[in-house]
Amino acid sequence: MSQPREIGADEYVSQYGSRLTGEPVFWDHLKPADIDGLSAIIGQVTPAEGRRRVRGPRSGPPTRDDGIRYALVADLEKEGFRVTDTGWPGNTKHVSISYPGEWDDTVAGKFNKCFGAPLWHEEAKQGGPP
Amino acid sequence: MSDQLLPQQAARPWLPADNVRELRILNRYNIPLTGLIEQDGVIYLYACLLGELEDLNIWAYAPLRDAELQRLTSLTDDDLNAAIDQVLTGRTLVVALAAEYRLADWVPVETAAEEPLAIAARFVTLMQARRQRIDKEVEGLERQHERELAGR
Repeated sequence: MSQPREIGADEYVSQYGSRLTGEPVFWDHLKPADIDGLSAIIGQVTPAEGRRRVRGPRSGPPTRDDGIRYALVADLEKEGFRVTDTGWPGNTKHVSISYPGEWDDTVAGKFNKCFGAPLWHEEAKQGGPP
Repeated sequence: MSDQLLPQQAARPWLPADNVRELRILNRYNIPLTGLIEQDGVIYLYACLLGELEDLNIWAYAPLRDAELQRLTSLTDDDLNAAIDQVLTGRTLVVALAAEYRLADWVPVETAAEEPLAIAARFVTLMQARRQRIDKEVEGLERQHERELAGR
């Protein structure tokens, strides 16, 4: 695996989410509380790629319940978040988003503010961004 | 001695007992999702089969052979994820249910050449059957208790 690199402020990150259980789920809190940040994928990837990188091929093909939302690194940094390249063998595009303090509801609000509306798999198939 | 992992109630799924040592995380998304751990000298692969973003999830633990370990520590991305799926087939796994990121219950599951999602589905069926059995036994205990009270 390659060495971690600096993430540029002009780069985008993608957060994979799901509405498999009904409501859209995009993590905005540290649950469980003993983790040190939230995960994202560097670049603007499709919901299908997000699913593959998170759930693996074992989960089968993408469905209408797979979603992705994008944030500009500069916006996250402006709100006080730190974005670091923390690739794992199973997902070399993994980045960690951490916050230097307690990740409470206010921080969750700041985090959500940085991301656009989710793009769902069906929309992406019809030519939605990126 | 069995080479099956011995989990512990309420342990984190990615560190499933006090005597388990973390060797390497293979993938993480908010929480560790796949990785290598060691218990009593045996190396295991753990993998979240279902519920990676959800509060309820299903996990599998597979003892590894040397060649598999070598493969899992040399691949990346799709190749690694495909190799992980291969390791989960054709052997006995311990499959566990976790709620709120704590292990709640588990059973050994014999796997054939089936996909990991099918393993998770079979686990759910096994757990339902076990729960029905326990419910029946509890009903039996209640009836016995009522008879004993009536006989006094």
